[in-house]
Amino acid sequence: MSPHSPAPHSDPRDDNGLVDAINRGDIEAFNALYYRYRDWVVNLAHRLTNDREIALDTLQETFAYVHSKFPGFELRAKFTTFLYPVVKHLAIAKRKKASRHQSLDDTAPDIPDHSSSTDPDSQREQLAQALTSLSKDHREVILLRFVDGFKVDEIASVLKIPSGTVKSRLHHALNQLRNDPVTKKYFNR
Amino acid sequence: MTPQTNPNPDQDLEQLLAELDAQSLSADLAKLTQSHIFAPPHVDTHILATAADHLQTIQRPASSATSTDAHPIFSWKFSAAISAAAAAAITILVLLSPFSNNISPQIPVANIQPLPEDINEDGSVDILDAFTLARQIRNSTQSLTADLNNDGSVDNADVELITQRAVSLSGGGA
Repeated sequence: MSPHSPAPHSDPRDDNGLVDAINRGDIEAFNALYYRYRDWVVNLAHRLTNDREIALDTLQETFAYVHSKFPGFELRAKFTTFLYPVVKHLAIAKRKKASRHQSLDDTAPDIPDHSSSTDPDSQREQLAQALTSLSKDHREVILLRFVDGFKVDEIASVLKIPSGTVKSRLHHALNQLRNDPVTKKYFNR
Repeated sequence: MTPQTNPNPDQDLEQLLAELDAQSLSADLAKLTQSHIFAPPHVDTHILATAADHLQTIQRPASSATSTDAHPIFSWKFSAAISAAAAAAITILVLLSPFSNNISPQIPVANIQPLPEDINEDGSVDILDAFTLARQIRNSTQSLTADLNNDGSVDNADVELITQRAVSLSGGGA
């Protein structure tokens, strides 16, 4: 069996169309919404915890929370801006619970551990180190902006901080990356 | 350009973004943070069955909803363990039963398109469908079409999917 179960079908409706349909009890619309965002949720939860079991538990609880919002759910922004705080809260709570006896940074997004990787591309490890050198707040806005594709106002929304703070963090993070020997190559345009 | 000396932080950020090859950075960060963790089919099944159970209460008039609609959310691991055990038990039963070939199929209800999981076409998805599919797999005398997990073969994983759905839905109905 393939380790990755593909979406059984793609639904032409946009997220708002699916949400409207789910509010009317359309189960197929929920299935389409689930398959549209399943991998994003798992990937984010794993990024936050580096733990497969927690990522899958978070996937389950995230979509349990999503379906509990129906009927009556209104999508006022991108669905990922709704999902991000939910996934972050659930994933970090689970990681804290699983690591009660360890001292962990409970808010920093993690990046995959490449220390034991046999990946011959050492650039990945160097990029991971450059990211790790950023503070947790700066790293988070970099990942939200350049991995998840959020705009400044969307980052402000999901982190519940002012847009000016997001810009400041982005500025400091990018400046640090520009001065890092590994990541300065991205700034030569 | 030295951002530290510029009095306008917005302009600093814009200049940094203008210098940045955002596409390359995004691509490399995406590769770096890609988890390669995929949800197994039984996790999908469990989550979607739980959601379907809830959403069916939207479709029904409020007066017909029962207390069983608000069942607790069990972990996919718990559900997967139950379904795996049930699927194994069904397979063993089918293999051992001398009477399994004598089980008559249910008469399909006219004008109702059965669900793919409704193997015996009796209008509901329940443990008997898993039993029937396990028997069909064992006999292998017919071309089987119930590739429910779309993995290219009809096997015990499909039996497990039906079992999962049967134990996840309250009342066992589809």
